[in-house]
Amino acid sequence: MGAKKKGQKKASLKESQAGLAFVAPAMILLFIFLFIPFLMTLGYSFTNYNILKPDATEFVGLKNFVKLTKDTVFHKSILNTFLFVIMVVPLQMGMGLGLAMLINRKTKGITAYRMAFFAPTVLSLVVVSILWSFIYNPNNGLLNSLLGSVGIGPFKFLNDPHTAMFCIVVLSAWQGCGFQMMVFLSGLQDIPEHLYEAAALDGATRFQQFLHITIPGLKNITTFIALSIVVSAFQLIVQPMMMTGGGPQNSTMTIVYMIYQTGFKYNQTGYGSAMALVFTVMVLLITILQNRLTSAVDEEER
Amino acid sequence: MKKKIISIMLATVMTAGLLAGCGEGNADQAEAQGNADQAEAQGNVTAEEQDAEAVAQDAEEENTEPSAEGVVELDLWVHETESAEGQLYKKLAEDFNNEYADKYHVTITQIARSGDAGGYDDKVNSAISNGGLPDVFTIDGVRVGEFADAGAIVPIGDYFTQEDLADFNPSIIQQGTYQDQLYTVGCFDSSVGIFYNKDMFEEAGITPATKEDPWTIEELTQAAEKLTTGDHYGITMALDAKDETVIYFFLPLIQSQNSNVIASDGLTAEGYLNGQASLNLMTWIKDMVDEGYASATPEANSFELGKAAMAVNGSWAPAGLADYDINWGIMPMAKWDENSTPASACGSWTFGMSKDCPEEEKEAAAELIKFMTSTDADAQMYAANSMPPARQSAFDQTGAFDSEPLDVFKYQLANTSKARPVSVNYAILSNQFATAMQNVLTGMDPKEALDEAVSQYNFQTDME
Repeated sequence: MGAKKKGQKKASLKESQAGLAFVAPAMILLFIFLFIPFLMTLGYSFTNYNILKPDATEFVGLKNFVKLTKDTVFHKSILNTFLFVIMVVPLQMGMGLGLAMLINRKTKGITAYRMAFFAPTVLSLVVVSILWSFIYNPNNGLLNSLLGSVGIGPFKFLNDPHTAMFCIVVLSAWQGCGFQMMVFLSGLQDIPEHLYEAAALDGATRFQQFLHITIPGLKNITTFIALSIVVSAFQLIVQPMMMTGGGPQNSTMTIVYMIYQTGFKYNQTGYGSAMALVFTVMVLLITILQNRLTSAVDEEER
Repeated sequence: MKKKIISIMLATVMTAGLLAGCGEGNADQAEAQGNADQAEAQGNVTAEEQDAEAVAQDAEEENTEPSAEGVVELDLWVHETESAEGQLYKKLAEDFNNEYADKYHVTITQIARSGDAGGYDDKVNSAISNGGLPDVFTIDGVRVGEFADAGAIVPIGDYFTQEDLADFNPSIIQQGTYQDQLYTVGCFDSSVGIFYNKDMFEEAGITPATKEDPWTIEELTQAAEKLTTGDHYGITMALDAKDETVIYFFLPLIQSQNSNVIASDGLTAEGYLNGQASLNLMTWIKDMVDEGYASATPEANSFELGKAAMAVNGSWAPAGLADYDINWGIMPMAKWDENSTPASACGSWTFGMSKDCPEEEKEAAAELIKFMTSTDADAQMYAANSMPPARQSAFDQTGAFDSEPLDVFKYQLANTSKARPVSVNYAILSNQFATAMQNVLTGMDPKEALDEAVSQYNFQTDME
C-alpha cells in the first residue's frame, strides 16, 4: 500500500517536473522581457535617470510623480487616450462584426472579399498612416475630393484640433477590424445552423434571429475581442507619431507617445518611467474592472 | 473552413510579429497577442531590450581582418548602411586601413537608423550606459551639445592644426563646438535656399535675387503674391513638417534679425523662443498662409509638379529635381529686412571621439577622424550623396559649386550660414518650436503659441 503511494508521488513529481520544463521557456522569456523591465521601470521612476548620463543618476523620491500632477500635456494625453479608446472600441467591433456577417455566406468569389477586408491588418501601421495622411490632405486629398463632388466640405481633417483624433479613430478601426472580422467569423460558424432554421419556422424575423441567436452565440468571443481592442487601443502611438506629431494643439498626444518622447527623445528616462508606471496602473485597473463587469453579467444570466 | 480561417489567422500573427520585428514603432502589432501585460511593457521598453533588438536585426557589416602586431585597433560606428553614403564610409575605412597598414586598423560597424524609434540612436544610447562605445562614432550635428554635456564625447580640437581648422566651413566648427571646445567635425554640410521656377518668374516679370544680395521678407512676400495664381501657390515651405525640418528651415529668419530661439547660455528660452524675432517669423508665416500665397498642408512635390512657383528646400533637392521637366534656379535664403544680416541653414552628421576611447589610442582615433573628414573624403561624399562639402578646399576640388545654380550654397556656407543652437536641451527646444508653428498654422494666436512653447520648455527642463 505504502509503496504504491510512494510510486504515485514519484510519478506526479516527475509529471510536474515535465510540466515545469514545458512552461520554462515561456516563463523565462516573460521574466526577462516583462518582469525585469517592469521592476527596472519602477526603480527608475524614483530617480532622475538621464539616458545619456547614467552615472549621474540620483534618487529623487516622489519628485517625478509630483511633476506629473502639474504636467498639463500629460493630463491632456490621458484624456485623449480615453477619448480614443471610447470611440474606437465600438466602431472597430461593429465593423468587425458587420464584415464577418457580410462574408459569412457561401457565394462565388467570397474568398476574394475575405482577403480584401483582411488585407489592411497585414499592412504595417506606418505605411497605413502615411497612406491615410494623403487621403486626409485638405488640399488635394482623396476624401475632400470625394466629399466635394457631393457638395460637402472641404474639411481640414488632421489640421483641425476638433477633428484630428476622430480621423485617427477611423483609420485605426479600418486597419484593425480585419482581425476582429476573422475572429467573429469563426464564432459565427460555431453557431449551429439548426437554431436559425427553427427560429425561421417559428416566424422570427432576420433581426430577431440576430438579436436572440447571433448575439448570445458570440458572447464569449465578444469579450475576448473587446479586451484585445481596449488593450491595443491604449497603446496608440504610431498613428499620431506619423501623422500629426501629437498636434494640432496636443489634440492627438497620447500617453505612450508621450512616454516615448520623454524617455528617448528628451533623454528623461526617469520621468518617462514615472509616466509608464502611472499608465501601467491605469491599464491594470481597467482590465480588472472589465473582468469584474463581464463576470457579473455572466452570473446575472445564470 | 474553420481550419482555413485558423491558418490564415496564424499566418497573420506571425507576419505581425515579423513586422514588429522590423523595428518601426513596436507598439503597433501587440494587439495580435491580446496580452494585457504587453500594454504595460510597451511603454517602458528598456534600453537593454532595444539593444538586444538592434543587435539582432540591424544589418551589421563588419569587415574584420587579421592584423599585425603593434597595430592600434580602432572601432568605428556609422549610421548609414546600404546607401551610397553608407558604401562610401565602408570604402573610406578600407582606404584608411590600406594607408596606415602598419600603424592603425579600423573595424567599421554600420547600423541602420530605422525610422523615428531608430536602431542607431538606441544602440548608441545603450552603449553610453554600459561603457561599450566605439572609439569613434557618427553624431547628428544638433546632438553634439547633449553628448558633450553628458561627457560621452571628448574634445578633439588639439589634434588639428589651426590651418586645417580654418579650411572647414565656419558653421561646421560652430556646430561642433560646446563651451569653447571643439568636439566634432563632419565630412559634408547642407544648406537651404529658395528654389524658383524660371518660366513662372519670366511670366510674372520677376527678377530673381542674386547670391550676394538676398531678398528681404517683404520682397519675398511681394513676389509670392504676384506668383500666386489659381493654378499654383506662390511658394511652398514644407509647412506640414512637424519635426527637425521646421527649425532647420526657419531659424535663419530669426537669426537674420540678430536673435535666436535660445540665449547664448544654451539654456534660457524665455524672451528668445517667445521673443519679438520669433513672433515676427510666426506672424509672417501665418499671413502667408492666410493670404493664400503658401499652403499649410502642401501637396508632396508641389514645386516639382509646377504647383508652386518657389520652394524653400535643401541642398539635397537638386538630385531629385533632375527627374522633373521644369526649368529651375536657386536663390539665397531671404533676410529679414534691409538692415538685417543674411543668415542661412547648415549642418550635417559629424564624427566624434568617445569617452571610452583609451588614452593610448586617442592619437589613432584622431587620425581616423581627420581621414574621414579630409578634403578627399569630402569630395567623394559629394559624388555619393551630392551634399556640399564641409571644407573650402573640397569645394575647390569638386568644382561643382562654382557655377549656377549650386554656387548659391557655396556662397552661403562660406558667408552667411549659422549653426543651430548647441544646447543640452536642443531636442525639447526644437520640438517646442515645431509644435508652436503647427499650433499657429491650425489657428492659435502666434503670441499665445510661443508663450505656450516657452512654458512647456521650462516645465520639461525643470527651469520654472
